[in-house]
Amino acid sequence: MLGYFFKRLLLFIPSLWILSILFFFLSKFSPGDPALNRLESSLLGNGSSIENELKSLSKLRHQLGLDLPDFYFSIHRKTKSDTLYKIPNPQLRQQLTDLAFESGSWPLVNNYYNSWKQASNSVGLKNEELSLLKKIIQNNSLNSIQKSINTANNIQFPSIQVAVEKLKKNNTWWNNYILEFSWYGTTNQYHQWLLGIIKGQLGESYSDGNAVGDKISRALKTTSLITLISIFLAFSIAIPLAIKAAANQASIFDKTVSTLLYAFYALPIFWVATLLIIYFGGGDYLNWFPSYGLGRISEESTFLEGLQIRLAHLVLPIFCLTYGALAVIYKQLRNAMIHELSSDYIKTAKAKGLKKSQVLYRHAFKNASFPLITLAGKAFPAIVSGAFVVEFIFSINGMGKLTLDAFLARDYPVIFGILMLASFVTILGVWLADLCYHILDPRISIKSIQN
Amino acid sequence: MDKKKGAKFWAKGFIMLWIAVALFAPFLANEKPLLTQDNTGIHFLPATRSSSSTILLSAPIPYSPSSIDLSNSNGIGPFEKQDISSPFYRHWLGTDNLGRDVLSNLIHGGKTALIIGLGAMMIAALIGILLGTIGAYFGDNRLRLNQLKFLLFSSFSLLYLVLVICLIPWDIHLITAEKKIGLFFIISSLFLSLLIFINYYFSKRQKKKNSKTILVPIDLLIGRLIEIMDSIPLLFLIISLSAILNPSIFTVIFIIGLSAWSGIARYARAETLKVMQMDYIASSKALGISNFRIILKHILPNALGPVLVSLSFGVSAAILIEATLSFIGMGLSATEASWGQLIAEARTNYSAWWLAVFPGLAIFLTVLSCNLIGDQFMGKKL
Repeated sequence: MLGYFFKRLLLFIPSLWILSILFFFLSKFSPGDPALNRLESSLLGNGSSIENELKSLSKLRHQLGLDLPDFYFSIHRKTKSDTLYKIPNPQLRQQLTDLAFESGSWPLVNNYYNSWKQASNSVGLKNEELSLLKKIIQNNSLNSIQKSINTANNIQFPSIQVAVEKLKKNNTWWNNYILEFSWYGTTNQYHQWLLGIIKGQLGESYSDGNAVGDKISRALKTTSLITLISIFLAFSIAIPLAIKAAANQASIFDKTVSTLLYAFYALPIFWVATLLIIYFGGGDYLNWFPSYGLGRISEESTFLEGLQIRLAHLVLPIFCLTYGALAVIYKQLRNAMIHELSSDYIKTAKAKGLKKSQVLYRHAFKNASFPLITLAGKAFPAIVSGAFVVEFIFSINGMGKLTLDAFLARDYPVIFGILMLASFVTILGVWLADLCYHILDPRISIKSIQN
Repeated sequence: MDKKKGAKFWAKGFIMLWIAVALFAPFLANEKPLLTQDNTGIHFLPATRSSSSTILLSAPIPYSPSSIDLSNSNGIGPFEKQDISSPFYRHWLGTDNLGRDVLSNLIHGGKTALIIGLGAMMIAALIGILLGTIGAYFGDNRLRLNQLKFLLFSSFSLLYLVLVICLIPWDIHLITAEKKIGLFFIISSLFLSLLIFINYYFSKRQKKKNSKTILVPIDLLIGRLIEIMDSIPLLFLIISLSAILNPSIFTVIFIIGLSAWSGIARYARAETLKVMQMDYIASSKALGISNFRIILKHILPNALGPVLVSLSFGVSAAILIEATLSFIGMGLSATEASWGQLIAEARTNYSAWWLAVFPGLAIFLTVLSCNLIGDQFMGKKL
């Protein structure tokens, strides 16, 4: 049996590998370019020329490892360049790809691009000429290139014109429907990233250059503080409630608590959080709790003062996280308790004169607590990803905010790190729950676990 | 008992009201008149209106979700004094920061929620039921495929994937989305017809001689797939997908549907396993009825009931996910009416309680009703 669990531990590896490929391609297909994003924020308002911009872009791309091919191989149209990743500017990449699609020949488009590069590299260009060059390269169809060349009568770039003429003459559109296979070997972005993960390094954040591991662990501290408290609270409130409700089935207490928690379950967290902020967190109504962040504790304040500040900030977010989980735990445990209380061994226990509390806690609860293990296994990954919306609403610098910011900035290393961590913890939670089942009740067979 | 019946009655009533309001949303809240008359006759929902025409009938709420009432902007509450020409133009539930009518947005948001809830669950149910029943029916050691056929099938599906991903110019800006999708369908249908032809050809030839077979552990493969899907946090997956695709109603349906099928697959698998124990399945196997027919005619009708009921929980979950996405600003575009977006606006204007309370109540009641109905049909107690 333990061999079975070990085997499942080994099965983590292919699952995580497939997930890593999935996440990698998800990020590759998402719009936006991390290098350009970072450059724009650092060069904002700096009126640099196209050439300089391209140079600094390619430097940055090299530094971030983005000038490598994406994957071990690629299958692509014959008109799509297999060395496209070397062109730094994403817009330029798009325009040249469009051009190649129209004309059906990448070498000729490359020829045109090279002649343009040569022309813009030549010494002593006037401003007019520079602006014309800028205009030419921003076109993505042959007609519009010809048009922008024609608009300037007095300036001539013979090499570019020759290249464009060649493109026009030799239209081989059918190349668009021929597939080509290119092999890149292990010098690719995915391989480098995977190697880093195996070595335990998640890489550097694209947006600020900090280590991803540090960033995640910092955010994880905050998030796990909130989620652990709320998971603890949810279990410690729901268990007594459920036991009492099950012991007095169909009583007024049972009915009210059941109905109330059932309604809680349908309340959207973000709505409750917004209402709490409006009515208790400033707004026009009560100003009982701060609604922003986790508070800053100055170094002079005593431990009690610090605790007070923290607690005041924690009340609203923890309430939001707790009430939903409460309903799930309560419902499961109450059903299990009712099932157990109707079985024969409870009758025996009562008949031999045990106290009611002994019957409830020692006999019924012990056996009814198995669904709680599954729930705890499911709550395990919530430590990482469970507080997403709450963190967003209360502006807490945790995993949720880190994820959202990373998505907005196309900060792939951070996104990868978070997604891989969250997935790993989820698989681990299920595995741990199954293992606990087995240890606590060895009669439970693998079959019943699987179903 | 009475209380439970009462709850079920109210839940059913609310769902019916919601569906009716969603279906008739354009007639309930619309800034354009519904019926006009001019010299050429009576027009129903005229696209353009000449100045000489008279309005015969206008919608009870004379505001579209995106129509802006400039004289009542900056969030006027339902009980505050409103700058209107007649009580007919009153904003019954107030306006938002831009001066859009909250009630109109609530009605059209209900339509969006209905479309997304049902649409996403339809996609999820299709994938989940298909995979769940196939996995349970064939198990790990019942799906024997002819070696040649298996090789052909797997290589063809690989080829198909390669063709779809690489041959269709997804990355070309000059080509419109419609053309790309058209190309996709042309390639797909060509490919499918080729596949059917080859299948037919080989099945004719196969009868003559015996050849080697291969055992496909289909249940294991599908189980792995479900496990992988389950291990990605749903909200993270949906957010990363909506960062890639431009969120519109259809992409949101697509995203939620593609991400949320694993629970349904699990459930369909369990139900199919239950039905498989029945004697009539054994007898229909003994009669030599084809697997496809047994699944379609004998298993699905008996296993589908509980699975379909469980979809009502899925609908409520999809509505919650859509509202959450819109709330954090990664969902529908601002032109689309959505309950989540209204609540998001409440965050920028804390004194406007009506922006949070009404759409929140709408979400709460819808989700509660869906859950209640699901529980009632499942025979579970409150």
